Amino acid sequence: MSSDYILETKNITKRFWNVVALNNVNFKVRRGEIHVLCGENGAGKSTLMNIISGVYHYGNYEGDFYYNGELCQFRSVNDSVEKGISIIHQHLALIPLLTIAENIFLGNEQSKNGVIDWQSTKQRAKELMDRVGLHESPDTKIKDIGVGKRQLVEICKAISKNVKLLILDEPTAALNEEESDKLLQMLKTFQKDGITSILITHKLNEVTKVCDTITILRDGSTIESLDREKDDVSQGRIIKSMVGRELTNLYPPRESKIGEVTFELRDWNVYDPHFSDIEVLHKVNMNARKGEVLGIAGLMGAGRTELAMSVFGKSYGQKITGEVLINGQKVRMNNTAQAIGHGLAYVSEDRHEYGLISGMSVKDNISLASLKDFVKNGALDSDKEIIVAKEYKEKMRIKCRDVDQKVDALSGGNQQKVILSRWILKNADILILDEPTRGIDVGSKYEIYEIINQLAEEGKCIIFISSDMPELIGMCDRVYVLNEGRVVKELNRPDISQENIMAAIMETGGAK
Amino acid sequence: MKNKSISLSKYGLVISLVVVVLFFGIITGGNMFVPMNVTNIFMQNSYLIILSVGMYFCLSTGSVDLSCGSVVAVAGAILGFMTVTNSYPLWLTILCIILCGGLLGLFQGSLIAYFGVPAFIATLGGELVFRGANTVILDSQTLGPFDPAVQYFAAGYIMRDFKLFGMNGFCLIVLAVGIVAIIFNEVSTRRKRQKYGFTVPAVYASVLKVIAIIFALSFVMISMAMYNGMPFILLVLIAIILVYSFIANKTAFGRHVFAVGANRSAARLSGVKDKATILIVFVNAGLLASVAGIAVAGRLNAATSLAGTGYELEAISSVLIAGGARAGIMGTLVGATIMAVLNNGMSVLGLGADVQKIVKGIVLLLAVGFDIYSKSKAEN
Repeated sequence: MSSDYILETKNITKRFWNVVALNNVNFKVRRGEIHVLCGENGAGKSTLMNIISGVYHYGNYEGDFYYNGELCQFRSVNDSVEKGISIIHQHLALIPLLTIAENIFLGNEQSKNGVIDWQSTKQRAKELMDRVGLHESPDTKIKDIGVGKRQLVEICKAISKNVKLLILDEPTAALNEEESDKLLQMLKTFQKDGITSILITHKLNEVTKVCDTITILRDGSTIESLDREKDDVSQGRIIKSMVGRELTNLYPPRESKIGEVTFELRDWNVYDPHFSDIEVLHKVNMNARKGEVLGIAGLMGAGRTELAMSVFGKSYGQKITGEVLINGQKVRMNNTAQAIGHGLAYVSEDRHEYGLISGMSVKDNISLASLKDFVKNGALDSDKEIIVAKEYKEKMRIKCRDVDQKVDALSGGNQQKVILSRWILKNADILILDEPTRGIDVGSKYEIYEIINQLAEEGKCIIFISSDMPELIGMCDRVYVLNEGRVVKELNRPDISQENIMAAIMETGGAK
Repeated sequence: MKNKSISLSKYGLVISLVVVVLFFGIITGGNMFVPMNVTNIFMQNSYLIILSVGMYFCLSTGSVDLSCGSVVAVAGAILGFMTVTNSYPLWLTILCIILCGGLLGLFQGSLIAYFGVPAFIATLGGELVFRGANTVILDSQTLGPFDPAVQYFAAGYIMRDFKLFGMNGFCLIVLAVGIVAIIFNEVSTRRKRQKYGFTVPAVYASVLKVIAIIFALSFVMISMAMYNGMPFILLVLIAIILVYSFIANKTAFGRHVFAVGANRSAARLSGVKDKATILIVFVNAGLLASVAGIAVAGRLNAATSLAGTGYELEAISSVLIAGGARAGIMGTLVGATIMAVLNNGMSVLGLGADVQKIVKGIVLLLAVGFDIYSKSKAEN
C-alpha cells in the first residue's frame, strides 16, 4: 500500500476546561485503507473523530489536520461532509417515525425548487440499500427495523453524500456476529470502490480480520500504530498496548474486613424502557458483602448503569424480573423511596443530571434525602441542618465558602463529596457508586478513595462501577465483569488485572 | 461581603416596584396615593395575590396552571347558582366551591404528575372545561347579590368605627405590631447568621432595608386608616402569605417543591416523592383559586361569565417578574404588587380594557424574557 495519506493530524490537543482529552495526537490514515482506532474508555477516540468530522469546530482545539493534503478548518459538520468525510456515531441519528428513504436523505433532500421528488428519492434510496445489502422497502419506518438494519441505513446516508472517508464509531457494538461480519465485509467492498474507512471499536477479535492498520490511543496520546503487513497485530499485542500503565501509589491502603453477604441479585432481567423487545440485562446474578468494595467493570454500554438504576427502585427499564435479597430477605423496591428505605444509595455517574440540585445550597443538598430527620414540630430545624452540614464540610473536606453556598459554584470533586455526604448522612448500608471519580482531579480522587475505604471499614457495602481499570484494581476486593448485559467473569483480588478484565470482555464480544 | 448577584436581583425587584409606583403616582397627579385608592389597590387585586401564591408553587415545580382564572369564574357561578337561584345554605355552598377547585386541581395534577401530560396542555384543557361549566351553571346570566358574609369577606372592613387619633384604630394597632415584627425579624435573622459565621449585610444596609419596609407599611396602613380601615380581605391575604411562606421556606414539603422544580430526576433519586409533590401543588392551586373566586364575586357582588378572564396570565407575570422560584413568597408578593399597581394605575388613568390588555401582554413578555435572561446569566 502506498504512503499517500488521505488524513494526517499534527499535534492535535483538545481540552475540556482543565481536562486534557487529546494530547499532541499525530495520526495518519493511508488512502484506501481500513484503519482501526482502539483504546479504553476515555482514551480520546471519539473526541479525535469529532474534531475530524467537524463536530468540534476549528478554533476549539489546538493543532491541525490535513485532508488530501489540504488544511482543514471546519466550522460545521456540513463542511466536512462537503469534502467527503462522513461519520456514523455510536448512537444513531435516525428519526424513528420517518421512513428509510426519508432518513437517508434527511438534510440532503432530493428536491427541485424546494419540492421533494419522492420518485427519485425512493429510487436512489433503493440503489443505496442494494449496495449495502439492506433488504427492506424504502417506505419502512425506522422504528420497525432492528439495530443492525438501522446501522445500514446510516451507512446509506453516508454513501449518498459521496463519502470518501468513512468514520464509524463502534458500529458493531449493537450487532450480532452475523451482522457484524456483513458490515466488515461491506467495508472491504467499499475499499475496492476507493472509500477509506476509520473504525473505532473494541471488538478486536473481529477487526483483526479486515484492518490494514491499527492505531492505539491511551490517555489522549497516540501510543503506536501497527501495520498488518509488518507487525504483530494479535489481540494480546493490542491489549498490552492499550493498557500498559504504571501503577503508582494512587490508592490509599485498606485492611479488608469482609463480612457476610448483604446484597444479592438473582436472575435479574431488564428490558430497554423505550423498546420493549431489546433486552438490556440478561440473567444477572451477583452478590456483595459487608465491608467489601465490589467493582463492576465493563465497557460503556455494557449495562452497568442500567443495572444500578434498575436495582435502585426500578429507576430504569421495563419488564424487570428477578429477585433482590438484602441480608437474606427478598425485598421489593418499586421506587426510590423503597430502595432508600432498605438501605440502598445510588450515586449517579452524571452528577449534574441525577445528583445535584442546582440553585440549592450545599447544606440543602446534603440534607435532601434525610429531611424527615430534621423536622421538629412540623418545621425544618434549620439550626440542626446548618450544624450537620458543617460537620460534613469538615469531615469530608468539602472546599466551599460556607455551607449556604450554592452547590453550582463548587468544583467537580467537591460536588461529588456533597452527594456522598447526602448518602452517608442517610446511613445507607449499600452504596452503589457509578463512576464516582469521573471528571475529578487527582487530589480529590484520592480523598474520595479514602472516604470509600472508610465506609468499607465501617462495614458498609460499596458497589463500585468504574471504567477506569487501575481504579478498580487499586480499590476493589472483587470485580464482576459485565459485557453486553451479562456477567461474564467474577475476579477475586489476586486475579483483578487489566489483562484479565479486557480478556473477559474481548472473549465474549459479539456473542448475543 | 454580600453575595452580589442575589442582592442585585432582589433589590432590582423592589426598585422596579418603586419606579412603577412613582410613575403612576406622577402621571395620575397624585390621585394614586389618595387613601381611598390605596385601599382599592388591595381590594381590587386581592385575587391576584392569592392566585400568585398558588402559581408560585406550580412554577417552582416546573409546571404552570392555566386554569386558575376559570376556577375563579366557576366559584362565583356556584355561589350564584346555589345561593341566589336556589337557597342552599352558605356553608354548603362554600364547601362545594372549595371541593370543585380542589377536584379540578386533583384531576389536572394527576394527569401531569402520573401520566406525564405537559402542564400547559392539562391546565389548558381544565380551563376550557371550567369556562364552559361557568357559562352552563350561570345559564349565561349574571347572578347576585350575595350573602352579607360573602360581601364582608371580599369588601368589608374590620372594626370600621373604632377610631384612634381620628383614624381607624385597628389599622394603627396592626401597624405598630408590624413595625415591631419587622425590626425583630431583621435583628434575629442577623443574629442567627452571625452565630454560624455566615455573611450578613452591612449594618447600614439592614437599617435602610428596615426603614424602607416600615415606611411602605406605614404609608399603606395610615392611608387605610384615613379611609375606612383595614379590609377584611387584607387580613386573609396576610394570613395566606405567612402560612405559605412558612410552608415554602420551613417545611420539608417546601424543600421538595424546590428540588423537584430544579432537578426532578435528582430529586427522585434522593427519595423525594416527586409525583405526589406535583399533585399536591396542583390541588393547592385549585383550592386557592376557589378562595380567590369567592373574593372576586363578593367584591363585585355578582357572578358573571367573564369573571377571571386573563387572571392566570397576570399571576404568571407576577411570579416571573419576581424571578420565579428563587423569589420566594415574599418576592412573589412584590411582583404581584407591581402588577396590582399597574392595574390600578391604568384604571385611574381611565385606560380602556383593550389598551390595558396590550400593556399587560407587553409586561408578561418582558417578565418572561427577563426571567430567562437572568437565569442564563446565573448559569454562566
